[in-house]
Amino acid sequence: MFWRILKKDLKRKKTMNIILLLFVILCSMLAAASLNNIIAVTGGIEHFIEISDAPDVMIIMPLDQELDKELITLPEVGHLKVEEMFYLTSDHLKLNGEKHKDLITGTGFISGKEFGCKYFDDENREITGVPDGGFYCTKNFLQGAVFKKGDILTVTTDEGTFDLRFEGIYKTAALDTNNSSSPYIILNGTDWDKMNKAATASAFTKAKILYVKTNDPDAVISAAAETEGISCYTRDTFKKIFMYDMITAYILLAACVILMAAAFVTLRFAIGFTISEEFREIGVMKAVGIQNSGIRSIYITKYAAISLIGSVIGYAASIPLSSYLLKSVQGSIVFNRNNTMIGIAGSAAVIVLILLFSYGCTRGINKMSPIDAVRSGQTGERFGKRSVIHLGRSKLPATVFMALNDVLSAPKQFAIITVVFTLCVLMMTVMSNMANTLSSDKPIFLFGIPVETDASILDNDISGNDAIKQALGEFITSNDGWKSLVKETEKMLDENGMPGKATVTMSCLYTTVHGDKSVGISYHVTRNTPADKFIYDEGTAPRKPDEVALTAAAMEKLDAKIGDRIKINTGGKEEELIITGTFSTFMMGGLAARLCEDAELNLEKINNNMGIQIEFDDSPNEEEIGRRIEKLKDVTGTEKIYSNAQMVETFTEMSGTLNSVKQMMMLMTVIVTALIVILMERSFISKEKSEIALMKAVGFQNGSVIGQHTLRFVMTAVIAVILASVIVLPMSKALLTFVFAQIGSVSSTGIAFDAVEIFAVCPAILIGVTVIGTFLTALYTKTIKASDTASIE
Amino acid sequence: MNTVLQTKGLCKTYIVNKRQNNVLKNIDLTIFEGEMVAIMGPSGSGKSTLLYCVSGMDRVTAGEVVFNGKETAKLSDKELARLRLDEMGFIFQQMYMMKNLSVLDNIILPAVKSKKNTESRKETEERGRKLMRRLGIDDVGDNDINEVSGGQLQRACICRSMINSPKMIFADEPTGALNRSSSDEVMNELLSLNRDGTTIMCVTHDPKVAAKCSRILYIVDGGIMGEKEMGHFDGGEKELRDRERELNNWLMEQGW
Repeated sequence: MFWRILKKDLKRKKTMNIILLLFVILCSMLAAASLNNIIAVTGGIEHFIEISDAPDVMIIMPLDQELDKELITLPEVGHLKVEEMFYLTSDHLKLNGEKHKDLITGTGFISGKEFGCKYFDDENREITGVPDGGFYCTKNFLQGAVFKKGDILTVTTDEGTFDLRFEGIYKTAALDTNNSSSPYIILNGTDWDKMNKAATASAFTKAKILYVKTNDPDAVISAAAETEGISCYTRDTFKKIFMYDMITAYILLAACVILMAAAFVTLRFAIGFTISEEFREIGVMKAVGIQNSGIRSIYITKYAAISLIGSVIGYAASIPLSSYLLKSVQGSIVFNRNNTMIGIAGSAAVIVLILLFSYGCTRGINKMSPIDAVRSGQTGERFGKRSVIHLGRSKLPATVFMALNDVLSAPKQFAIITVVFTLCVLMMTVMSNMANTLSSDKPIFLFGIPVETDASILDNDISGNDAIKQALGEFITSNDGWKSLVKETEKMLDENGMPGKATVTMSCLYTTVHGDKSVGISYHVTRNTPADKFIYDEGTAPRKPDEVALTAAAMEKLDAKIGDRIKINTGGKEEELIITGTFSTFMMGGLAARLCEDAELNLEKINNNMGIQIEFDDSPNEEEIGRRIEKLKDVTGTEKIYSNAQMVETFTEMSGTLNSVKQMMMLMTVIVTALIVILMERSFISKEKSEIALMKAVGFQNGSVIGQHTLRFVMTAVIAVILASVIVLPMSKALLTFVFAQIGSVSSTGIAFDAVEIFAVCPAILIGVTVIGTFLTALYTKTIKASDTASIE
Repeated sequence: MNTVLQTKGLCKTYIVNKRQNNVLKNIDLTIFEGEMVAIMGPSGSGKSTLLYCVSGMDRVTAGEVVFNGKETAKLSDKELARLRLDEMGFIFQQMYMMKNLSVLDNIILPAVKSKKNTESRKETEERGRKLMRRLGIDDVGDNDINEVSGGQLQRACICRSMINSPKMIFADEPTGALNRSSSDEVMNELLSLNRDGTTIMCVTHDPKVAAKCSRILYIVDGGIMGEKEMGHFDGGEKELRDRERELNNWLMEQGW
């Protein structure tokens, strides 16, 4: 009997059931894709490290050292692989005959005789060997250059020129492939041998990479500690390499979750809608004596059937969607995209949620008496508060009034739609702000250079000015070395009609002790500008050599606070410093300190320098800075001069990815918004069929009805746009601070935004999709005739 | 007397499950200004379909319908909507109203929508209230539609049908969902409107309602099988009983 009622219902209420099915498909698709991505992203690095067969310890060391022979004898070392490598600067490299001018660092050429671990190509296939005359490179080698498979890299050495064919990029779990790090090229073993011989004089370093498998990484690192000029990396340090990729992936994930939440909210609404439509049937069933549980079971069975079918289709649709979403963030990582069970679990969760929704929605059935229900079914009475506006007292045209009145009369329904629309706009605008900020100069203060900087020279090879070139070579050899570098740079600026101040920033890694805590912290000093030119979150700048500002992360690790004294070992010498304030930075993953401008550094422990920063005296605008940078490139003979925005973009590499994620999310948002609008409007039409017929009977034209339906969605979209505009900036700021806090120690950041994009283009997209979607769906009202007034149930 | 509505060879056919169902067959009908015509007949005979076809709410399959000099078949949907808005009024068996509007707003909605109406919104509202006063429901104007009785709601529907001073009111079982006393009140209001010159066409099953009309058309299987002139009803109890008796006799002759 129930089965027959159900069968009839599925047939008779075809439209609403199809709408529900589409919503279920949408939810299931987004849930399965999002869950799949959550698992892929959260376990992403571990998965990548595992499938890459990455070492427990990786050591990069000079070629002439023989640490590998010592290590292999250690009982803790299970397996050891060696890759040989030589470095060349970009002066030796040409891409398709053109100088590779964007490459800042030297490039490591690795012999592919034996791979230290597994490498993957851009299609995530394992690379088993490099063909003769070919090469694979890490993604940071290209630095945005257009270089296709089959293109030629020309390597010029003192003893010959070699043409290598580009086979594609490769992904590695162990080597740092961020833009600011050295790229690595792998060659066929025979080609490498030839080039290595020819590059003897050209190569500035020859090295070995040791890939050590061990159950005791600490023992291996201790054994290697005595060897000079080595760098050790463990699996923990590998994970930090992918921080930028992971943050982008998490942003994508958050966007997916928001989309999924929007779809679920709308689904919950649609279920409530369909059940409220059926009061008449419910009343009749009650009147003939069917119990509440029986009535509810009919609806729950119906929704179970719809959700089962929808979830299966949704799961199938989630597979390509999940791949598409992850594609934009897997530049460096091979994600695990085969979480079949997770996808199925996501779809199953949709079924459970729908059943819970329908159970919740059908709870209202218990409260109704047969008479109430029958009356409700017949007269379409509503039980909420009536509208607060009155046609007689309003000056609005009838259609606009009706639309506004509908919105105000069903505040809960339209509030839900408003929330969904707001989420949709925020998805686009917040993403836009993130991408814009990461290609602007706003986060420059997080790179440890003065905020007044206009341009940075990040090259040690200043071929156009011998004095600067020489000073650059010498400035890290003595604590006064920076003076001649600054002097020569300022002289060069003067001579070229752009007077300005030059500053240099360098850092040393010292072991820092507070109480029983000991942490390796990077100490930064910027010469030729007072330390109080930097931004401090709390306290004051260090003004004396025994004062220091620490990041919040460093303070936390040391369990210290402002005013405490810490001890640093600067290499044989122990010093005591007093903490004067805190600041934010990306440097060293946030474990950083700032000393005053006069503080002396142990130059043997220098771990970084940021080249030369220039602050022009006349505070030129962005356009003028751009012109001066071009002029400086000519004068100095280096292309590696960047504005602050270019520097942020180059160092974080997130802007480009975020831009593609933004575009993808815009597309997704448009699709989801269109689907929600279409399905909601179709639901409204079904529910309001009798009113539409009545309006037509009393003389409303089709245009008025369509106008009313379109307008009320537009009103909702406009409210959503206003709401989103109000919260987009604080929300973006909070989110960016959170994201930056994952990279370094950041308590606050400024944001850059494109006002046209976030206050005009994105809102216009949402309103446009809403208008088109609603208008086209509302055309269906044309099929409702005036004479239907009497025949509608 | 002037003709308000005239049909010639009016046919309406529905196709249900590939079967042709001729609901109205060659109906020739003329309604004059000031008449109050009742359409009677058994269930499924085509009474409501006739009402919807002649009022332009539904399109005819064949034949001609001329309302106030305009052939409705030749009018576009837009023109038909305007005709319904400005020159026709409708009352349905169920008291269909816009659920999001108050009773008064429902009444004045067609006037606000009409381009013919040059009054200010305030004047329109006042006119709506006046109509409500006339029908004795002026105290429920600001109420929500679920806060009033069926009889009050139906009288509000009459007010709505009257708001644009239509040439003709079409009523489909206007008392079908009401109790006897509400039914009498509604019919008295319709009679009163008719006396004021509004032409009314009313579909009904109820001989008591039909007895108040000036002419009765009896439809069977989509064709007019009988027609009875009753003359205008003046409102006396005795006259009504006589008219009812006369009508019942006639209906029995028709096979009612």
